[in-house]
Amino acid sequence: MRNVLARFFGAGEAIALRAARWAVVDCETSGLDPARDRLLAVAAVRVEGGKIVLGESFSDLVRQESPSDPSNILVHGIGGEAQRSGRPAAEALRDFAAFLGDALPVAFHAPFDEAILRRAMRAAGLRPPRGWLDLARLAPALLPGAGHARRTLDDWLGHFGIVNLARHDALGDAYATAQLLLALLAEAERQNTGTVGTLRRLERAGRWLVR
Amino acid sequence: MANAANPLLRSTVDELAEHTPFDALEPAALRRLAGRLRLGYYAASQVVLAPDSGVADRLYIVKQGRVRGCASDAAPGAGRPPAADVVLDPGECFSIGALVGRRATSVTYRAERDSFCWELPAADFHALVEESARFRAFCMGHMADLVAQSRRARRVEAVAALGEGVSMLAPLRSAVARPAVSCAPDTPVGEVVRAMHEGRIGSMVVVDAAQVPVGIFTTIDVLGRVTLPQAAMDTPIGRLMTPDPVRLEEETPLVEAALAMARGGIRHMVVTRDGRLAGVISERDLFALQRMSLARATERVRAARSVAQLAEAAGDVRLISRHLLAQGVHAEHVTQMTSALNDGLSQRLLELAAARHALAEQARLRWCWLALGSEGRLEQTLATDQDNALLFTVEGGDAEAVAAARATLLAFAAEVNEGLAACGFPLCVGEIMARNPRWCLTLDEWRAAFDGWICNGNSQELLHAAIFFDFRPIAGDVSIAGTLREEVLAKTRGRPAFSRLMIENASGVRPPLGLLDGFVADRAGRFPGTLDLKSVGARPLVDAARVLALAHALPPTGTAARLRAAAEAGALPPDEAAAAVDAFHYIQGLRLRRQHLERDLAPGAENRIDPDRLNEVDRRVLKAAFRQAALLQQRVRMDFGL
Repeated sequence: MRNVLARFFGAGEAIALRAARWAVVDCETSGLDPARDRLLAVAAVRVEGGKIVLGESFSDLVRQESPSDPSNILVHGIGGEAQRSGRPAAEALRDFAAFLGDALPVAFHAPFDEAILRRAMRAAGLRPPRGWLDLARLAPALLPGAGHARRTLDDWLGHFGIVNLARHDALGDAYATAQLLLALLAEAERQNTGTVGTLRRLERAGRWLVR
Repeated sequence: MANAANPLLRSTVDELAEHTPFDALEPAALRRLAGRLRLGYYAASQVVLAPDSGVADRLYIVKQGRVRGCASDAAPGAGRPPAADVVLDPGECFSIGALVGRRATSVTYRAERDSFCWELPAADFHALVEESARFRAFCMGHMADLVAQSRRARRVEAVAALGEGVSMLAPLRSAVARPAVSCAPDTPVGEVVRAMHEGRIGSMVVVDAAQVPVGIFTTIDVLGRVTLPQAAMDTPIGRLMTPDPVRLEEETPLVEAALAMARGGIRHMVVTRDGRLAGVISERDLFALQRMSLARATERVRAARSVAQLAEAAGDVRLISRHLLAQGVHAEHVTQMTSALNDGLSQRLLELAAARHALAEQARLRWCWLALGSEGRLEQTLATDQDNALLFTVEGGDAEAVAAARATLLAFAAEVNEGLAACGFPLCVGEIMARNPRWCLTLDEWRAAFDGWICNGNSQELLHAAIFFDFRPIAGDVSIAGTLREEVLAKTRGRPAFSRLMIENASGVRPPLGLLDGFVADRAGRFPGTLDLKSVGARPLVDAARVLALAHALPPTGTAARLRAAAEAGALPPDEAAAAVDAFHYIQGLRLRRQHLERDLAPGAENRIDPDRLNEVDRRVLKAAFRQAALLQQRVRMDFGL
């Protein structure tokens, strides 16, 4: 019950940043329109106590009846055969939801991942995660100087010297995004942003910075 | 989920495998390692790990960026020799020494750039050491390097016995942070105080024309010697300074400065180069890492007016020992410093009791308080009972005067024994204490007692008498103890029958190693499966060193000092002596760590360890230490034709 309430009323605002449990999520899709495009792959990396837990990550391909557009395949590299060989959406997403548990969901351009997952998870009869933290907004809010010239995930990874070995692979991107989260948490701590709630307020302020 | 096929682990494994020692790890061990890792981020200049982080709880492997290890907590480059720094690039690990030794690091690790570190929890590190022969070899090699470094310690700065940075053996000059401010003896005190205030310095060294230090004046002196007595501001500093300050040459090891500070209760020490002023070192410089004031503990001891106050100060002393140990300071120095502080404690207690019993008013009485056993050898651990005795003379005194003096001294001793017990040194079960009339003896009576042991003692008697041969004067008239020591050594020297009896006792205890080089733990008793580090580990070495010292008339009472003196006298090959000293300190270190760092020890378990619970490195070193003890026993037996 407490979990359900927390999901609706903004989870764990008072949790100290160091104590928070996060799940950094990345989705690969058949296109950029969350209302129409399909979920091809989903991955999540766990961050606990300010550290990435390497032994616990999630990554699954979602089975497609028909492969996505060839130009799109070039982006994520999930070929037609791989798309057909993925697991049924309901199964993969149930495991994904179990992996998430009550961790706070995080993504870069979170509204996109949130929308894609909302649609897919509802279709599978699952409750989509709520209370997303968007690093695309948080980063410029924390680092206004650097944020001026930076927009994309690659920009921010470059800023912190984070190497992404498998860009546009859901798990590779989630892992790189998780590293970005660690760097931003360290910065937030340096600025005495002690709780998840204050971090969220900063993130909301970041909305006006990203145009 | 689906851990085995986790691509994150695969890429971590691949990344780790680019570096030594992970490239050589068994694939299964490497996969398991990767699965236990967490990835942390440290912004440039953020501290990753420091001495005050406590006992090392994880291994750090640099993934990306660069971490710099500095021997002090100071910001990088703040007057510290850069040679002491360790630079860690991707693939490099820290701090293996602290993890293996289950202690805190002595080095402050700071991210030099934005850095990511893989972190392996200590339990998984130890499991990996157990599981992977190759990882073990890597850590052993690392330890061997550290031990080799520690052997070179007197030549190479910035080396600790097991630590990676701060060394108590480094020369004083490495800790002198700034040039000393000095002035001539005729400088007016007003000028001196102004200079100290403006320069924000704690001490002014007064030097003569040849730059030889003749005095020191500190901020604390301002209050007591200038402000309160309302001294004229033009008074020459030469009349207000502390003359003849404690001076040490800059090549002296830091540990000696620390000892001198502990003994003298002083906060500043003048450092000289060929007798001329080279700098000043303060207690804060010395123990910047420590935050626990040696001088404060010494001062508390000195200022104590009651047993209750002394007992409080005794608590400080224990805290300091624990602190030093947790920081990885070598067992030898920890015990030496603890002994110096404990001596101070006993001395103050004796001073207070002597005043109450008006001993000074007995003009013809000379007395000397003797520490026996481990206290006499300067090797006290926490779980040490008190062993002490009194030695006295009554000038021109008849039997009646001696009896009267003895009665006074026994009452005095009873009070001191109780006082020591209140300060945490339990009463001796065997009543080997000064309050026992058997051990409150005149010089003549002690002569007779030692004669009896040396000339007509049987093996059983000598077994009990051994601790008397380790006597060391603590307070009172030290010179009569010196006389007794000389006479005893003159009698034990070149008396093979006596030596052989002592050795037979000593050989009764053998280091607990089996035929196949495994430990032989106790099967029965209160703590089955454990080894008694004191009786089977340290004792063979202590006994052998005592035999050597007595046979060759070597005055030191400490085991390490006796072994070194034996080597100098040609009674023991120097490398064997050095190895035996290492072994002894290693065993003492294990005992100290157990007593200081483990809480809730069952009574009687203070010296017991379960060899199966030691990590691999400790197990190997302990075996080597036992072998060394057995070797020394054997050599001493052969030397005396046994």
